[in-house]
Amino acid sequence: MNSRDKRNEPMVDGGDIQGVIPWGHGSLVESRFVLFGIDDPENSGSWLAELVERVPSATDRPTESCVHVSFTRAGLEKLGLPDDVVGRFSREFLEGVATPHRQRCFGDVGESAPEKWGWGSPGGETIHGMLALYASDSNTLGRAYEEEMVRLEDSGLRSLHTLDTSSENGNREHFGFRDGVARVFIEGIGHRGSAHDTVKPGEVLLGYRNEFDQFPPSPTVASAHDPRNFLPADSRYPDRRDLGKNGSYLVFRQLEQDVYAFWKFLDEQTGEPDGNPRPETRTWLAAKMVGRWPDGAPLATNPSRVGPSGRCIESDVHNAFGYGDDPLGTKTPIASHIRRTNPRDTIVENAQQSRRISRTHRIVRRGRVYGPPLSSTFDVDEILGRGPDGVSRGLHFLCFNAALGRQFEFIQQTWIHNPKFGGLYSDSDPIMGIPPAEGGAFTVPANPVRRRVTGLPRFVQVRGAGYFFMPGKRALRYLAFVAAKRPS
Amino acid sequence: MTNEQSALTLLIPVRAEALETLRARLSQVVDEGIGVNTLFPFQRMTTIHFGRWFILEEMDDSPPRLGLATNYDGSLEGHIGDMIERADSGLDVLLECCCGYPDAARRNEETRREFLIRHEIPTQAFYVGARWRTVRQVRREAELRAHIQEFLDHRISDLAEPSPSARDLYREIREHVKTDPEFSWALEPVTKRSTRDWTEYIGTFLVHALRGLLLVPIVPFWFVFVRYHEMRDPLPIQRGDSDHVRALVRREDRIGQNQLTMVSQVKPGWFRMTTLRLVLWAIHVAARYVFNRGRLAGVPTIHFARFFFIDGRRRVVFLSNFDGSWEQYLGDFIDIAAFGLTAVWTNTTDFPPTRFLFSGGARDEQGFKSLIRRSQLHTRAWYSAYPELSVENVNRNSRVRSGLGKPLSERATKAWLEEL
Repeated sequence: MNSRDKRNEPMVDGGDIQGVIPWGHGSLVESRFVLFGIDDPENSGSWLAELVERVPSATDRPTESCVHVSFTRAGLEKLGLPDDVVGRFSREFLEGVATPHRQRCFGDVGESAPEKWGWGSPGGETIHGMLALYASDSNTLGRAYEEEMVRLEDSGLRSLHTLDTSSENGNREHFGFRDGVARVFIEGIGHRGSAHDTVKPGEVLLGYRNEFDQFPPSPTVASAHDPRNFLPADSRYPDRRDLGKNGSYLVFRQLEQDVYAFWKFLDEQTGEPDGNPRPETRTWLAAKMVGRWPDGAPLATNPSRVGPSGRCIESDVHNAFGYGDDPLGTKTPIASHIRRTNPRDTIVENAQQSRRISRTHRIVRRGRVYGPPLSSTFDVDEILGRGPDGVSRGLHFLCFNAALGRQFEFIQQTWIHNPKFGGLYSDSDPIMGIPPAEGGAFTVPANPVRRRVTGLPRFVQVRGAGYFFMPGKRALRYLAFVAAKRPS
Repeated sequence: MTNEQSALTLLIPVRAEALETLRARLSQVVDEGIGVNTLFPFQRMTTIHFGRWFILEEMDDSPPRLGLATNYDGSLEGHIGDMIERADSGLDVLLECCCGYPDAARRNEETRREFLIRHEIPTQAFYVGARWRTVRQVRREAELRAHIQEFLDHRISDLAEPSPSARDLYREIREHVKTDPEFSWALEPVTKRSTRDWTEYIGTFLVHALRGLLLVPIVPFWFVFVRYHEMRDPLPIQRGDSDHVRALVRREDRIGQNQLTMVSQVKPGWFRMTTLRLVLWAIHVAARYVFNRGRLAGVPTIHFARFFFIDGRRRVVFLSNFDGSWEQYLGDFIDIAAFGLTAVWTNTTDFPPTRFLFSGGARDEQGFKSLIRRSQLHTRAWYSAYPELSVENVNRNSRVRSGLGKPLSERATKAWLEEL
């Protein structure tokens, strides 16, 4: 049973947690993700044992480059973890992201169906894990990558797919909107932030209490199978050891954005009857869809972008707002992207209760943009002039959470892809949603009556996805031990 | 004629040797299309809002049973007649697997009707998200809304163009609806409840209130006994069954609505069973007289839900039809209305520990969700008459329709336009 004796509960053990989870490595602007397969597990143990000592924990703050590692279910099995231990990971992780049920819930259909993914497809090569490399500049990244690849290949592993990221966009995602204004903080470790956005460690890391004051389920190993005591004792069962402690479930989805189609649609919807564009209205409609202006100022506090002084001010860009004064959505539409990925104080009628509930549905995002921008200044006329260029660009979406069903999957299914969200009828998320064949609708509440845009196409397609587990360092040493002693 | 919806539950013992055939036939109902299959075409039965077929597997003291649960309009006789007529021989194909079904020579409308009514189970508590509405009304009001939306989309298609005033818009919309023969019905008022209906409604309430008043003095003693029992409750056994959960999840989220069928064992003893009866009675009264605007203790996503006892009140069954995912539904209850859930299920076995009937319990997020999954059955066939509408949609559509029929003040006109 969960012990109610809190005096003996440890602080968050930063020395064991892989550093990217609480810190994000924002200053290491270059990164690369390598999806690997373990061809010959014989030397995977020594490979992993050597790698672990170089993985930075949350108490290390790398300034030049670093590497992190995570595994899929197949990867854990390939390393030699027995079935009964693997079976103790969460059901969602074990099933993987590409099940028919998840396809329905996340809209991974049509062009975004798993069969068409470039990686992670059930019929494609089995991914066993991922190396995430971070570096301060591209030369350093290149060198670190070469070194890791040598070690990888020498040990019987193989790189299956490499995903680059781009630092060209600065702090903007490809549609031109500033990203990363809304952040989630973990109590007891990592960056500090406002109370509303700080969650209990158990929401992200296994082995700590979550917002329900419970420990999330964590995979354990019989003590007899950990004779060298790599793993910490399990808090619930005295004869078992906690394999999942200080680890987290990682969701990785490659989201390709059709930047040209997005602005083309907006241009057409807001143009004059004779076809001339109306740039201000165009930007206004885009802001209504996202919930923030392109520079990041929220509609909730800035219904029109230009401040009273006539200029755009940086201090307008912030995250300290709610929707309590906007129940109908006339400032921030109910259907808009940021409102539905985090309803803040309007999940239920009571604001305090809403905030508490919203903390049970947060994720720590660690994604990175990829691909060159269609316009380096995000100038819409330039984008429209360029036309579709066939270059893949978008977001490598990564997030950490402890309870996939209640966190990532919940946000996707119940908030983003739910046309009935917040009392709506048929508005899916305008940016990421899956409209029906005839095109989706987006409602902009207004006085005296709503404005509505119809015929929304799909702007974001999924090109690959996977569920991974990023273990703590002691767990990695244990996995190396398991892999080394498995009968060949 | 009352527009109040009612609940029908039938439980019919199945012949052991025909159980496998029955399962196959219910699969056929789903495979051929729940609305249009050859055995039980739900869509053709105009009285049904939501309906389901399920099988209660053999339990230590009971044979396997076939269950049919419907939420319907109108009278019981009318509803049974509707089903018999539309299912016709298909119903025979399903029911001939059951014990005591009249053999071919003696089957006619009379004997079928009598057989069904004989297997009716009383409902302990019944909640309706959108009361006093027939299926036809729900569908037509949805069409009305779509019609108005289309008109508005064309009327103010240019996003930068200023909109006409609230008053003018309202007048234009009203005119547009009035002149369209397909929608002019919307301006007529909804069928009002008759004096007889009102008498029954208020009269029943008074009876409940009287019973409640009589019980009030024993409430504090009751809580003391509840706590006594709680302290002696065995700790729930934490077991998971991933295969069972996987099988349930595979069938969920095919439309925007979902359902659940749950069977729970009541804790042994007279006290627990009586506490449960009292709690369900309280829920039933509250559902009819207090929570009758679309929210059950704050939860806005339930279309229809019911509780009933089986096996001499040793087991309680819960059926629900709701919007959104299972995770959202249970999450809503844990976050908003845990006390209500706890008060009911604390009287069943394996429930997380509770204090004073309302506290603890459902707040054990993991224990509670795990228990629900373990208690959940595979519902063999499930039908919704309006899968594209949420409860909030249905209620809002009704408000839109009623706003058309009567003169509105300036403020009311603005509020009405906000519904669109």
